[in-house]
Amino acid sequence: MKLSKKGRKRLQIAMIVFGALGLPVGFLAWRLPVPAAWESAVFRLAGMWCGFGAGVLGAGIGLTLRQRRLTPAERADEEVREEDEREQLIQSKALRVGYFIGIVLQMALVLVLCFLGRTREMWVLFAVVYLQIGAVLLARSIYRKKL
Amino acid sequence: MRNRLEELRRERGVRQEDLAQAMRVTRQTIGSLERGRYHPSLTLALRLARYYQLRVEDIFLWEETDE
Repeated sequence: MKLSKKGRKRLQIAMIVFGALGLPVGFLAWRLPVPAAWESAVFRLAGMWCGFGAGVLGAGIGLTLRQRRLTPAERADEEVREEDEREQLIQSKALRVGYFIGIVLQMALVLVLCFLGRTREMWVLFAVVYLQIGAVLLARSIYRKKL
Repeated sequence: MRNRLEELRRERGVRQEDLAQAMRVTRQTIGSLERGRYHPSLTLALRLARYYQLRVEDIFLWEETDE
């Protein structure tokens, strides 16, 4: 995805803000008085949220620091690399292959869950796979109208 | 599709880095174009043609076998 200088800066700020807000929300959720039946789910979700928030915060700070440490020549090289049409083609091919591998892996996991008798999880994952494929078909039909 | 990019570049004594800078692409893209591993977009082909002051079809040679 090609982002302008301003867009990149905004994304980095958004990542830092999102991460910084996500962390305390996760910690707060941990301490929430919840019914005993929900405790384990809330505990797990809060943990996941904290981890996710920390990850996004770390990535945002890392990207910002890296951007600041680049020399003007390195920054110009990076801009050329981002705009380079071959690099963009490589990126989109890699994403396509990655997407296909992801779908195959998820379908394999559906089979594993089926064999393990985890039907609820299997159907949730199955729905996710179908939604992903649906999103691709929807995007394709939008682009067919646009291009 | 064949192209004369390497031949033209050598003829004019231009380095890959300089051509890349003028085209606003990476040096690797120029190398890839010269080896015929990557076919440029129409925009880049036109920019290359303008750089060498030639027509696109004088640089990129389409062959029957390309079909």
